[in-house]
Amino acid sequence: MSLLVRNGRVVDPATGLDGVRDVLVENVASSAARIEAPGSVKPENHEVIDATGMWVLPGLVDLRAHLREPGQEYKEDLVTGATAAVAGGITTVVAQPDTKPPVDNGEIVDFVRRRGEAAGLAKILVAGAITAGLKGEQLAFIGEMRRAGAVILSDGDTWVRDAGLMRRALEYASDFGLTVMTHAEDPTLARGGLAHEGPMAVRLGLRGIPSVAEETAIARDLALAAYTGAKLHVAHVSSAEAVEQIRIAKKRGTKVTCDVAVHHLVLIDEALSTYDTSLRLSPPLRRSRDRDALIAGLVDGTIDAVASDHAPQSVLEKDLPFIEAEPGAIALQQLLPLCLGLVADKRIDLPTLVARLTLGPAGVLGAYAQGAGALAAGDLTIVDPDSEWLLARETLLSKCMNSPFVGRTLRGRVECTVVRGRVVYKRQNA
Amino acid sequence: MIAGKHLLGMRGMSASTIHHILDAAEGFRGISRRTIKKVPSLRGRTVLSVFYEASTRTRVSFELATKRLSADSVNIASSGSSAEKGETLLDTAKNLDAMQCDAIILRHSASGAPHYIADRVAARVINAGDGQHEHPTQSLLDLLTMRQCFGKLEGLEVAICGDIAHSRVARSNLIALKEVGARVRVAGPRTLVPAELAETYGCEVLPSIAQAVDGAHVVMALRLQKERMTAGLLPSLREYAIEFGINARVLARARPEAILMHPGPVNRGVELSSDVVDGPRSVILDQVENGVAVRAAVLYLVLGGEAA
Amino acid sequence: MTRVLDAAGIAKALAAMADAIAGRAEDGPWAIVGIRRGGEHLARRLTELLRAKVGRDKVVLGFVDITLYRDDGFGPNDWPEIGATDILFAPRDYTVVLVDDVLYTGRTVRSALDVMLDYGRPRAVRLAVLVDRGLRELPISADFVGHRMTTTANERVDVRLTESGAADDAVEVSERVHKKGGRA
Repeated sequence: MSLLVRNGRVVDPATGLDGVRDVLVENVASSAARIEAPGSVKPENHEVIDATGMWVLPGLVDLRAHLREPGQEYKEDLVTGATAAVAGGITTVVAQPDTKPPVDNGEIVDFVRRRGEAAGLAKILVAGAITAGLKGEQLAFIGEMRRAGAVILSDGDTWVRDAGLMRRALEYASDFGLTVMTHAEDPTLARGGLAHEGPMAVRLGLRGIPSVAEETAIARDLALAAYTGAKLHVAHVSSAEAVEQIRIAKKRGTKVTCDVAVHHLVLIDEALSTYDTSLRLSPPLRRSRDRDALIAGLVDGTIDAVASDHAPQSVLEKDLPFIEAEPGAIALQQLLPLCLGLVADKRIDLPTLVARLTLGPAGVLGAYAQGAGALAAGDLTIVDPDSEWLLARETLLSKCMNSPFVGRTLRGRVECTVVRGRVVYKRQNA
Repeated sequence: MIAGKHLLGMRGMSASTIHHILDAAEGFRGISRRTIKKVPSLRGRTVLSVFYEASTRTRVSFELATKRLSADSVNIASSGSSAEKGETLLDTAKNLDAMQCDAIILRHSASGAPHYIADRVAARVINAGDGQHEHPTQSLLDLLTMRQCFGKLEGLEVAICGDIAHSRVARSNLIALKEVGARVRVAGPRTLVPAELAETYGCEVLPSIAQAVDGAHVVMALRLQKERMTAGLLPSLREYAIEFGINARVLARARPEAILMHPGPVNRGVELSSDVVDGPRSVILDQVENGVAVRAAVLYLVLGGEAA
Repeated sequence: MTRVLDAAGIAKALAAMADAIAGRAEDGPWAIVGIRRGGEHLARRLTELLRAKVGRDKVVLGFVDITLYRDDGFGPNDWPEIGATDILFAPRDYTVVLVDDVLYTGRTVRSALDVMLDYGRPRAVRLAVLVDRGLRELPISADFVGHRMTTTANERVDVRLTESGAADDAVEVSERVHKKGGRA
């Protein structure tokens, strides 16, 4: 049986489409989706979803989520992570390798991939480590990980400090068509820091992380990328100057892409005034002008993607004084509603935003995205843009609650998520 | 009104509240000087002092204040963070609460720790210094000392000198002094003065200690922690003393009636030369005496309401 | 509002109280101690009247503030004002006469006794009040009373003195506006 999604506003950046259409997804292995004029497909023999008044988007692609399995299943596992992802309209998730043990060899890549497949929800893609054990000392088994299915390389929340090693990583990864994702933050400038080095950190008595810690790291990595000609992806850009660095590098032809974490698009450091540990993020929330520059970078395409940077932490890591808490916030379910807030505020138009949530991140993965990010792949997200919902213990599907938006009402709700032509999420009572 | 509330910091405290607390503190100064240094105001109340950081004068000062009010005081001293001891601060807080105490006086190395505790206990929490954030009772005793010396706070020129970046005393005073209408200038090595200080507090940041002291009513030096050297923020104590220390020559630039303050303990020969510590302008011991009165006033005002 | 005593009445009552205090000659020397705030000015007047009778050197003056000795704390919206306690004499050498304007529940006097005893051990303590309105809540009675009257809890008794800015000395009784108004 195939699936017919009728009469929704279909936004598909891959084809430049934005209009009311029917979408027909064949429920076969290829799961190709066809876009048709509204009402032109007879509903017989199809499972029908009425999307009148709703938006039909390609399934979202998230470049960065910490899914914690193996090793920290008390925070999240691949099933709960994938469950939260599809409830958030995300159909492709790149799992970060900072697990215990870290994903630094083919066997663990294979484990994560199979567990993801078995869950049968979102497509779990695997980021392999750049360096063995994420220790920054020697290269991880990059070839082996690629053969096992790794789609990108990343050392999680650690920067490869050794410039020589980073150079070799870029060179070697390019032999396998892999992009190197960098968590650009020089620890010698950020050490002990807890919040953006600005008035709020001064006021709260928290050691600052200056944005220059990010900018010096990006500068080095851009220089290495330009020198080696290899592909670099800068994860969660957070400062205005960093956006500008990447803008210039792109103009010069450096093969660089970057993403912004969703919380940096909607929050600034001023929110920290109550020492809410769910706002302890890495990189830290920065100032209003940084947020403005991030949005501008997203609009003009300097920033290719919005990532959730989903980082579940349990009460053991978060119910602590701010300086003892671990960084990170969960975001899989909030990613789309938070982004839609930017559309409502007229900071970005819907098609551009959708591109940064689908085609943009898929482009970072290149061929390894397996066609994700376009409607034609048969991954769909159907969202009711006006529906409001409370982010609360009952509605959160992650194992953790570390979100600054817990208790807040969000606007824009995923009604249905389709992966490879199969409905994997349908809102209760929808 | 601070009755029944936590005292977490000077932020948000109005000038009139500050003056009311100082007025009450004046009332307590007389009690310290009589033979029976005790009033029955808080008889039967229990006050827990929980100090996760070494402190002599603040702890003793709070303990004396508690005893002067006839409350029962229990001291818990603990070095290192709660986490190091294998107990989370949350568990500590819940345990303290289970002991049915009326107030918890908390000193902790983590900025925001008292706020964290305050959200999780029934007792009133009084911040006795949290990390690099705030030290409200120190600020109140500083203001009391200034008010006694000049009869007012409004219009005073106050120079705060030294390690501003790591100082909770500086932060509380920057907030409180602005609120009561004093003007603050700060100076110190650039590695110890946050770039955003002026923007954050509306104070004036001057390029040298001498310029900050120039014409000031109040010169407040801050303690320089020795670990600033190992953190690479300063080359040596000796160099600090020469370039940023306050001696008689520097102090002479202040007003003739100027006072010298320091939250203690003083590193003699580092941030202050020994002669100015003991000199005629020094009110450092008055600060200590006022500390007991201010803390008694705070405890009385927080716990003494009839609803409590 | 009813005027119970006018200026002349108050003067007469104070004079009679001074006579009665002096009449116990074995009590002297005396320490007249006003309970802030209501007893403050009355204590000054009484001191002058007594000194005129027994000699200046036989009478010293002091004040106690009972704020920190109250048994009922302070209201959630009040800033308690802690007044000074001035006991600049050695209590053991004197008979202390506590002075207040109105004797009502007796709780203020209880507090004042405690303050007094924290400064030492007087030879004896007596109590002088301008008005005794009854309705005691503690077993306390005055030794010297200017004016005795019966009241209800719904009434308030105000002693107004020129020293506190009143146009005329007077003792007035009125209906309470708020249940928890004054603390007589």
